[in-house]
Amino acid sequence: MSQLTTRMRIRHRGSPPGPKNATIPWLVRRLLVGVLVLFLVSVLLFLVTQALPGDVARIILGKDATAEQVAGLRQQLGLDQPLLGQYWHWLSGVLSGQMGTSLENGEPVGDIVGPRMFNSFTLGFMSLVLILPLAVIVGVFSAYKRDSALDKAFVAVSSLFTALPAFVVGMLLIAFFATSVLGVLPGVSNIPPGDLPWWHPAELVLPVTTLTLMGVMYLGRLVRASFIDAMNSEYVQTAILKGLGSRRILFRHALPNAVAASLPAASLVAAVTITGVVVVEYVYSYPGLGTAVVSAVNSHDLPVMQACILILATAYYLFNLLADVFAALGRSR
Amino acid sequence: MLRRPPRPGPVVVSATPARRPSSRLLGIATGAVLIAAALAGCAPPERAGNSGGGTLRIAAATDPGESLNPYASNQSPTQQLRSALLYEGLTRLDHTGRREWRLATDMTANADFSEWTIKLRPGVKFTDGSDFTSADVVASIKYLRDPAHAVQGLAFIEKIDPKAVEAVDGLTVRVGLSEPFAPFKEIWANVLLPMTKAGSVPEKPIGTGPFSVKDFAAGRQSKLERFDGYWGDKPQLGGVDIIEFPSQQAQANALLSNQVDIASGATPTIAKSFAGKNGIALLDSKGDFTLRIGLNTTVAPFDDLRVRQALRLLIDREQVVSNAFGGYARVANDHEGGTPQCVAPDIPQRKQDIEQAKRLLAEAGQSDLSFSVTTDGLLPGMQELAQVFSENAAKAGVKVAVNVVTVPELLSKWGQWPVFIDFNPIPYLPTVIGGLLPGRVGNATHWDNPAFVGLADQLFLAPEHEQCAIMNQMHKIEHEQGTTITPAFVNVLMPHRSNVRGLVPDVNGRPLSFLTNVTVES
Repeated sequence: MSQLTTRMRIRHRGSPPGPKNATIPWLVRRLLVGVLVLFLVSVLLFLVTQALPGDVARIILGKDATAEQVAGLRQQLGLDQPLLGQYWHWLSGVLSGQMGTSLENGEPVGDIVGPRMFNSFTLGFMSLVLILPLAVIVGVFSAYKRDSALDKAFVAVSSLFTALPAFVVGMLLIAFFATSVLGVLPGVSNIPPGDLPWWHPAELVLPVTTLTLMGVMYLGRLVRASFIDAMNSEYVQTAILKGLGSRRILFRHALPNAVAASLPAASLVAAVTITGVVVVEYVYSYPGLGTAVVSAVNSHDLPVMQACILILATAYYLFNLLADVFAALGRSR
Repeated sequence: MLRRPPRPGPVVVSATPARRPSSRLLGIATGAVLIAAALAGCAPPERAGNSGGGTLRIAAATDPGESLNPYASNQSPTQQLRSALLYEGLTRLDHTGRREWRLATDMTANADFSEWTIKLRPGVKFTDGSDFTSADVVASIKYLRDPAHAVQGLAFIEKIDPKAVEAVDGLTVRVGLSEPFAPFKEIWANVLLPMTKAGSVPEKPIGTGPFSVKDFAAGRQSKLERFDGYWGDKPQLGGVDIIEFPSQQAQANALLSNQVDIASGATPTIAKSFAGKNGIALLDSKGDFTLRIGLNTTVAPFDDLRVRQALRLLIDREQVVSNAFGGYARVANDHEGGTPQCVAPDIPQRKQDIEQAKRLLAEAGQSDLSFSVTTDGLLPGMQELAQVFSENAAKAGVKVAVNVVTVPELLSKWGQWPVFIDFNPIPYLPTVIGGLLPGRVGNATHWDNPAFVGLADQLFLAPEHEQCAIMNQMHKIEHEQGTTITPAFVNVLMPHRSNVRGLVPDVNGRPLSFLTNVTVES
């Protein structure tokens, strides 16, 4: 009985409760929960930054500034206000479309974060465009060649890549393709200010490859497992016994079901890819949200940090929501 | 009961029909062509080249808080590197450490060194084409002395009375001091004290340097172009790009993959690994740059001279040079350097002496001493120095833990850390003014030695020919009673591509300030 209740709860949390007219309210509820989650993220981030050692005003002015100068800057930045007041000042600014200015250099946060967001999303999007078809191709091929040397090699290599952190993969690729062995690609991916990322295709190759490898190795395994399940299913066995052509069985019956089963995972991979750019950007010095976050944390630049992390958190939440939607659709099938 | 279904195998695929041309493939190909065409349409606009001489691409450390204001507080090495190319001071130190006149051509004092008259160089232009005059010098000094501006170079000119700074004529400035100061000429050779056009700072600072700003994005990149109206020897380079990277490893990767021509920061390990690789050469600037371990005299037992001397006897300086700095350093003797114009002081070299250190610690009742040495690891070798010191100290039973903190954390408790690692890149006179006299912000060990202060007072009143002798006496007091363990003078390393010609090493560790004869061969 209790198990049934739990299942029902999961069903109503993660998927539309049955008829189509209930889907919209469910989605609205999930979006409202998302707003609440982002609000909590911003509160948590604010509190964490308050706990970080070091005074922003002292960091900006340096050790040579007098105590009076530091106090003056604290007042100017509103850092002498109570915590709640500081937070409300920031939140009301965001709600009215004002992201504030960077504590470090006084530039509007939008001017700093906007181009970097574009760069990060370009990197993430290009990687996803490669990850999704490649994962399907590799997964299906590996499943089709199940237990062959190629399949075993894929399983071994994908396990390795899943275990390796992204920065290790990045550094290995840099050493092999850029600095130590082949020397055919740039070792860093610096996109000059004002340029669009695709004006520098060579600089994009290694970071996109890193994200793609990580994504394909993970998602490809899931596709492989789903495809094996699909090929083992009764409807495929029936189709074989009916004498249908192998291409028809593969592409009409097995593949759609295998891909559908992998879609929630693909959405999660997308979420991980978008947020995973933080590490990859740092390794390649790619000017995106990731490097902005690292820099903002180092300098306690709260407005820039809040903006970057909220953007990443929003992307992560939306892709998770998409995963839930796909999962729900899968269950309804 | 689980039933294992038959595995799909080659049998299924053996019935694959023969291939035929697919309209889907044609669609994909058409799409690819359209995307390629769209991307080509979004290609970058053609970039105007420099006016000749090539562009030097310099990799530097990221500084998101940087600005073009050369008087800003808390300037990073990246900002100072750029400032040295955009702005000039009244004097500067050449690459051998000797003072040379730049925007000033002479400085003369009254009888008691309380008032100085500065003669300015005629025919100097700002990068906007306007003339450089005494009004600009007055405005620059007054900006620097304004307490509302937390300028980094304030300590060096604090004896200037801002009310007594006046233009005598277009090329002469009179500067009154709050108290006599003989080495007035020596303080101006500092990147933190440049002259800028009156009224241009802080929004849009204009200087007289050999380069002007073409593009600037804080924390990302600065593009400088040659200023053809420069009064001095014009650089051969058409431009300089300073490209910022978040780590030294990234700088190294950019250099190895030919994305920059020179890496302005390199650890000894990286520098060594580069030797003879991919056409990389190493610019090795030997000078008096010190990394030192500070002992806070307001915290027991570091107020006890015996303890400080014992700790100085524990460190193996040769090991520091070889292990912490990869051999790119030379042994120091617990005093600052930065006086290349003077004969080295005659002080016996301090060497590791564990037994003597133990005796001193026992006398001080500190045989079981235990403490942490704090470092932010900002510069290459800092953590390694702490580690070597920890291992050396263990030989005398002294337990030293290495405490690595962030830069903000180190700054937030500046002056409170009991034992910490600091660095000093500047010549001796400004070091005394900014970091060795009591009450100075740079004096985080709170050293207050009456004999040293007395000598400093003498130095501030001594004519030029007496200054070296006084400074050597001050070095002796540092060696015998000081509060820092200064084990090595560290070289500044800059790996660069071998097609960069004309670089010169600099004893003050700023070789990229001297680009006049530098070229980049294609």
